[in-house]
Amino acid sequence: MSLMINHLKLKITTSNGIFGVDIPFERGLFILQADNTSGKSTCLLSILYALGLEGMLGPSHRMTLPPVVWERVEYEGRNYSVIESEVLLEISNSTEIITIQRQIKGNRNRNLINVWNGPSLTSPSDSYRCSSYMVREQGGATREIGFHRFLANFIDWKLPSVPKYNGEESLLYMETIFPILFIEQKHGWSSLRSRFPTYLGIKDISHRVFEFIMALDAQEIATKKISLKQQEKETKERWYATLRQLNDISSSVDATLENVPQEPTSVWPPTIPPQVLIVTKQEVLTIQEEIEKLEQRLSSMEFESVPVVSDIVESTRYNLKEKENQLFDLEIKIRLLFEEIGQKRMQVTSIESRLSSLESELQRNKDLKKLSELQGIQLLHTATGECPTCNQSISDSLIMPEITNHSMTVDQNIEFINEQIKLFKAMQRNESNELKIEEKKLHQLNTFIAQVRQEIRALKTTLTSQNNAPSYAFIEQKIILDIKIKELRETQKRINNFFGILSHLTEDWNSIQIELSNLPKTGILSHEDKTKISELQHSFHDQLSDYGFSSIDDFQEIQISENSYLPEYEGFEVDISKITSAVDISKITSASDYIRFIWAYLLGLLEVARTHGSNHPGLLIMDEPRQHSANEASIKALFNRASHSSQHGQQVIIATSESDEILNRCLKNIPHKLKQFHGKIIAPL
Amino acid sequence: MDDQELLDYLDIPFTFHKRPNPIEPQIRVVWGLSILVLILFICSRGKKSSISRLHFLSWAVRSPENRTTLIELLENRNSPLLNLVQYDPSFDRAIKYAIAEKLVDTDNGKILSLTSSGKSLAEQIMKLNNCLEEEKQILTQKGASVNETLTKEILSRKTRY
Repeated sequence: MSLMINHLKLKITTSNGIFGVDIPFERGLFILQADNTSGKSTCLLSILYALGLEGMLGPSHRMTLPPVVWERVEYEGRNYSVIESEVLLEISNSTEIITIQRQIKGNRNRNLINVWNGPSLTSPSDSYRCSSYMVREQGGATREIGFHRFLANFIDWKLPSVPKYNGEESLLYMETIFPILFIEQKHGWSSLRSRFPTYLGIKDISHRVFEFIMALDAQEIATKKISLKQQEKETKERWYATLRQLNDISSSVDATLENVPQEPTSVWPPTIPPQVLIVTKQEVLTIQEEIEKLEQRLSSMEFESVPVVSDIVESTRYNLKEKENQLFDLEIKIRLLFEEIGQKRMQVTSIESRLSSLESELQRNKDLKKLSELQGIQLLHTATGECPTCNQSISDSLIMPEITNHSMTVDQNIEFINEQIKLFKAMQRNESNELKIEEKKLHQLNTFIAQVRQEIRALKTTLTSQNNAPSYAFIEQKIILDIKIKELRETQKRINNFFGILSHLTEDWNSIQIELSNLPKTGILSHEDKTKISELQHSFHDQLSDYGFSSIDDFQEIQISENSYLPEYEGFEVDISKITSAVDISKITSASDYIRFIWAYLLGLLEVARTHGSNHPGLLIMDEPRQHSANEASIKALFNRASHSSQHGQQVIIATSESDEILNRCLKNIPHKLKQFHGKIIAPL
Repeated sequence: MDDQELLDYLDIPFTFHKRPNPIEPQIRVVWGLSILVLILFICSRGKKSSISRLHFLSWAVRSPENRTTLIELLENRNSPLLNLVQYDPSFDRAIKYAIAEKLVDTDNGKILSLTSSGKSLAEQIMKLNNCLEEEKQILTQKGASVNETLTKEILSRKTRY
């Protein structure tokens, strides 16, 4: 994970020959000193341009570089118009050096970037291979020929996919990451949070960039948590579905399931084993006992000889009469039950719709409660029941402003609705239980009536057959018994299969629970993540003290938040663009203190990357860090702190317009490289 | 049990308690003010809007049914004969309070604009999670499509048909 700037070359062909500049950079602290308006920022911005990262400054495709490189060069009081210009940049990771060329003005496509696989600037050779890539076009970060894809590989970055506002996913583009590596003069010093480009539509962009650059496990843990929760939910749903099927199967033979856990459990079979029971008026049997009972009856019938019709005419007639009466009664019962069930269903539906409207009213009241707690609301007269114009008391109702003393407060209203919901929920439970019982009853009756009809048919057939024929009813009874036994056996088998599924689901459930328990209980930060954040905080405090930060005495109280990853004081984000009267951060009156803040945070990231695994490429470029004229001692402390980078193979490039005198004082005894320009940087080559 | 017995049975002391009336959440002051600043903040050009458009949108966010009607309307799916918008006097009062509270400002009584304190309130509401979510959503997605011209057209329908 490394990116260093080795050498920059600007080449501008003008009507008066070739202009430009050559700057050899080095590791460690590198100071670029030149007067204001001499072209420092041009040099730094052209680094950004060469890397195709000008999109970091905004969505526009217009030229981000100043006119000096594409319109006219002003030199020694005369103007020369630019005919062609390009930027060349030599960069290295820990093993390779490459050279990048991108045209600024000329005939070639500006979005085409040439890359040589060697140090073409510092040791020119024609043996380097050249390849072309494109940038700032569709697919520039994803396609094989996209330069940013190439560059990400070069830096050894695996850019994550992150959610966008529109619900889609996108790559965490390089343009979003570089604002914490490259602090340009115009916007870079304004705010920590609002430095990231928003036009890409990436959600919570500052979080995502921090997580990536510090290689936090947070995102992975969050994804894992979501996916495990999803699996947990799916397992639950499959459990419910299996239960439903079990119920359907068992009710098809009028059996009931006992002791089957309604929710997934961690042990299968449960301590009280599940049972399939067949309940009749006379007795309660398990399905196995029922099968045995029927088999016994069948085998006892095997021993009887089949009676002949003439012998049983009387008893058959009597039986037929009995059965027909029974059928008549049953039909009436069924019709009544049917009507009752219809009414019950309607009632359940109406309770449900009442419940849903109560719940939406509850939600609204809860919204109201949250609103009333807002500071902006509490400052209002109307919130305290006072007319804003005449200061008389008013009620909380927009329809009846007069005080009546009879209206509920929001809290009372919530309580009131909750009570109603409780009541209706109880009713709902009750009614749907009853409905279930009645539906079951209906099913039983239907099965029974079918049986009676069949018996009647059999008896009639017996009566109409020849006198010496065997009894049809007797034979059919045997057949029915046989079928019933087979059916019960089949059902028993299927139920056992489903119990097998439940047993599998139990295993799934267990492994999900174990994985969940291995993730952090609260939040999404791993132990290592928290260490990194506290290291950052440590470095941050250390630097604030070095830099002479004075706005907040107890700056030890400034925390790097584990939610936003940004500095927070008393729970408020410390951000100059957001200073509101509500926040005591207005204490940070001194703008130079805010600049110290940004130094400390961004350099802090670089420092944490020295001791912890991260995606930080070890590069920090600051354009004019002495904004708002921070005092000399602070800038010296910054230089000192930044110079440690050389021991860790990192690079800090600082462009400044300090005078020679001050700079000499500030850099005394500090290891550094200094490149000075007196007068215009862009000069004849 | 004969009648006398029943009467004796019922003859026990009892008391009445005065019980406060529930208020529909949408007619509470805070609700009205919040919806008003949200409409101006989320979906009004230059944080300004005519009072009739505000009425229209406040009607539209009031219930799931109204939200559906609004979407159908924007997609030209409902009958032009449908008598849509109901004028809601409670929202008028919300507007009056909001002016008095200096959350909104008006020059001529027809156009309202959000003041800085109104804006700050709206921002606070936007930051609240799980609060007025459906209202925020419909305003964000559809609110801007309800422009002044459309409002005029809708409100004049009654006379046209």
